[in-house]
Amino acid sequence: MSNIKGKLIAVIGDEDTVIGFLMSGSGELNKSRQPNYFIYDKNTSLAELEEAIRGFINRDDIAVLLIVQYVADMVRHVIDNHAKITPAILEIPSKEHAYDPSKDFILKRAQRMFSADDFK
Amino acid sequence: MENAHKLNEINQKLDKCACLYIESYQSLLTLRELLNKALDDGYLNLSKARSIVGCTSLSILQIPSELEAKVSIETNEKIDIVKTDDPSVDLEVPSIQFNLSVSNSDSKEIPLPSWFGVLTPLSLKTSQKSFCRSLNLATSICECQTRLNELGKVYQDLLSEKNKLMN
Repeated sequence: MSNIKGKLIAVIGDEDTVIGFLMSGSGELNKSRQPNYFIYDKNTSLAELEEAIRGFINRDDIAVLLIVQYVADMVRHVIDNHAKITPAILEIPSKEHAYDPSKDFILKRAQRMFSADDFK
Repeated sequence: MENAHKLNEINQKLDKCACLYIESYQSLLTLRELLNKALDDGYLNLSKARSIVGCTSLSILQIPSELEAKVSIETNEKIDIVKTDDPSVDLEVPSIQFNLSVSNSDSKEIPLPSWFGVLTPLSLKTSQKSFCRSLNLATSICECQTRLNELGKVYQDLLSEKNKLMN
């Protein structure tokens, strides 16, 4: 990675989402010419998307992965099976698709946390 | 007698853990609202800027082939010791801090890149600020999510221990 210490923030989303976060200074092309962002559009296949998200999850220089929720829905099986602490995966809204808390994997997991039997 | 004492200890920890979990969940929901708002502002202003300068002047094609990140995240693992209602019982909760740092040590603000030209509309600068704010919020949310996960694990472990004692 460049001169800065610490890990990167990766982004998977549509063009506006990626441009927005690149403007905020999170974008990087590493020594192997691998970017820490991936633009999903109508021509992106599911295989390419899966390869991108698995690639980011397996990199050890990424601490946070931001992914627009409507794209996360397509790779829900990858996200639900993600058990490592980093990268922390965060679902975000896109320009055209609002955030739905009922689909967020963290919130769904939290809502299943307690049951009446626990308090017996 | 010893079992009763251990059971009481575990119940104290479970209660504290449940309270911390609900507090963290509430924080998460609040941060989420703020993040969604910041991103909505960012997208709106980006669209406004695009309508002023034109679609082809504000696209991914303007992003340079050489990129260096100006922000990074440093993670720090630690164990929080939390007091329960019983002063003799402490709860240990592993947690991870996510700290967002900016490489430009002179200023905490990231300047607007010159990829889209010198004369850019104010809405583009406003959009950039919204996305910078989103990064800060995202970092806080990640810390909150991680804390929630760790509290969940601690809670489940304590529950298993309690069930073993009761059976």
